Amino acid sequence: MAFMLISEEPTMKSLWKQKSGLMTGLIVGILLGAGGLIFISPPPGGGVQGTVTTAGSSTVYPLSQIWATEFNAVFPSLSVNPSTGGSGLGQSMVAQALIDIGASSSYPKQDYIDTNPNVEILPVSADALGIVVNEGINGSHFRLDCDMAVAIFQRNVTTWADFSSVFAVTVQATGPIDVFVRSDASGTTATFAKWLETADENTNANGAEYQWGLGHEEALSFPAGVNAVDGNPGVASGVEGDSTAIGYVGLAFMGDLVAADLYNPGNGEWVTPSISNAVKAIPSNLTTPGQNIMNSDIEGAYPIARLLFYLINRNNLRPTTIMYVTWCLVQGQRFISTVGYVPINGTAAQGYSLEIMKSLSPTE
Amino acid sequence: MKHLRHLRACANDAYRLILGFLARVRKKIIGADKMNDTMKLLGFLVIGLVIGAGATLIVAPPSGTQTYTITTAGSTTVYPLSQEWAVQFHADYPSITVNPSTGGSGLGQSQIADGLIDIGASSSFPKEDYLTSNPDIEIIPVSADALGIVANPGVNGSTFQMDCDMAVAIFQGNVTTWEDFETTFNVAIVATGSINVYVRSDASGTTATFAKWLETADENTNANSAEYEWGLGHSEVVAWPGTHSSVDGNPGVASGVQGDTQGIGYVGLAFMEGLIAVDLYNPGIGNYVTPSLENALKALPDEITDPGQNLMNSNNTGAYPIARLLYYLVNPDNLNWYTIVYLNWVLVQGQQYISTVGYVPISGTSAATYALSVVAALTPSA
Repeated sequence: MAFMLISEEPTMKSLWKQKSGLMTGLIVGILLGAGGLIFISPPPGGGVQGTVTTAGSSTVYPLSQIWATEFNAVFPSLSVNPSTGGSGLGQSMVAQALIDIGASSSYPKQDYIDTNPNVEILPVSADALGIVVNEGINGSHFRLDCDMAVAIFQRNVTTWADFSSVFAVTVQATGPIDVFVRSDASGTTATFAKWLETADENTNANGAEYQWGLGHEEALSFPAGVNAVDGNPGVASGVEGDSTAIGYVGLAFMGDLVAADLYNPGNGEWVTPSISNAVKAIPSNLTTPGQNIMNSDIEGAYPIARLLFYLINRNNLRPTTIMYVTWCLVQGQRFISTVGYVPINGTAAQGYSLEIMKSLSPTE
Repeated sequence: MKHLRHLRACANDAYRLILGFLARVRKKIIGADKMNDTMKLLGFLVIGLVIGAGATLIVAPPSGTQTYTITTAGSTTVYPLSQEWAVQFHADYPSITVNPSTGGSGLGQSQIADGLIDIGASSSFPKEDYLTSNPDIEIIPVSADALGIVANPGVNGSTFQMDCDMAVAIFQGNVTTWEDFETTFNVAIVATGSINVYVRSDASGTTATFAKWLETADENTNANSAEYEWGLGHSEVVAWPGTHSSVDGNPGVASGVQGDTQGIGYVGLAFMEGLIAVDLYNPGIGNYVTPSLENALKALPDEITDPGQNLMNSNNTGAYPIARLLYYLVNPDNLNWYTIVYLNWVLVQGQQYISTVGYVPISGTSAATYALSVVAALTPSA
């Protein structure tokens, strides 16, 4: 009875206590209700909502990142979620339909293509880089062939005086060759190393032949004495601040540095690094995107270039994936040079990819 | 605003509900034991669940139901293409609907400039004064259009050649028998008797394009000096001589010619199968050219700088004389993101559906490269 009385005439404080307990229950309920509804909501329909997942090449990763940002800015209901893991992972995951897009910095091997005929391989960008030097080395003009580049980046020659005598060329600088390379895993490093491996295709005019022995991984074990720094900007500023320095950067990062003309044994020309010269390496009739475009024999072609690929699975193709890849090949091309790569719009590589995209429709 | 008001109303309802519930709970508490506290909490939890779920429904409508509509208007030539694209695009992207309408190229041009529609369709490149007063409008080639003159094998077996003066004479009814045709142009024709001409009764871009080419007869010098001039204009509906057989659609013309050993007509390139396709003389190159998609595309220059360039009687090697581009116009000041999605689709996936309506896909050509470069620079205005 006493309990009943207290309950019927509670003090203000105890009433508040009781109500606040109930309110807590109510709020928890509201939150659970709202959350639960979102959770049980049917998956977004209609093909213009959702997330596109990409994984693979760490070279392609920064490109996928900028594309993800720009794509989401235009299509706010769509997002792209890129991750890395290497080209091999991208290839296998897209084949198993675990992701929407596999990113690969190399054309897949023949056994992969044979085993996965449902996977389409689309060039989405090109990649090229330049060797840059401080103008203290030789003013605004500098030329290198592949043997010279190997000798410098493998530390076979370590002073500019040595370099002059070994290759019988005139270089103004005489001091130590200060080599700037990447400390981080980088597609630029891998591409550069792949070109250095072609030194056997090059015959040095002075008979100074060198061979690259450090492989072509994205993180290389460079010889002691090099300056390993972070990112393209790190290499560029390193070279800029050191009057006997040399390094390699993506084409978009050459800025005011002296860009070395490179010898292309394929066409027998010295070629200035530029986006237009890199694009020349793409043949006008691209029948297989796996074609090697380094040391291309096309007139005016810059020797260091390769294509970067997106892989998509015909059996696991969402409308949003088609929308995104088409966007990459059209609008997305505008953003490629901001990450240091080479846009392929207007080239046979773009035409090749669009021709494949033309025939694709969603599997949903 | 509407959602907010709704939300407030719901909150008020919920408050009243809670008060009522509290009152009832207090009544129940009288004579109840402590177990009821747990029941109360559970009860409120359930109410909360309902309110929370309801509120979420109001503030965030389920994503699957969001739909978008793209309106196009303009050229009746482009209209069947837009219709086909609308169907196929919607199949790929069910939440986006393309709603095409007609009205003529001029209407398409003015409505897009006024921001009344998402896409203007035009079968001709807009005139200079339009371009000057609407510098922001982007003009995008989306397809090409070409057609062929077809004859029954009874007319002259499997080979037949004509120049523009001959075509004018036939379709304008200046010559009406195959014997007349022979003597007028000094050529040998197997058939004798009346020339049975099949033309379109419905409004047709194919007719307009054909008539535009017939108007170029002055560029052609007939080998037998039989010069004719086209006087029937180039509208989509032409006032044909009464003796012609006016039939509906490309298939109507094709089957008319097929069933008539003295028959001749004109159809879009995709509708020539089974008929004798007449090789036409291109005065731009001085050659007879077989109608084919490939030869029609040869009329495109290697690089397009001016999408308004005339493609008829092109002087490119091997170019078929009757070809033109069809255009979509967009207004960058009134451009939705889903319109960009559609334009990308049109220039890539959409190209595979062009030949089903009798036109010529431009994928892989300089026209597509030009169009893609224009579309590549587009961003939504909102």
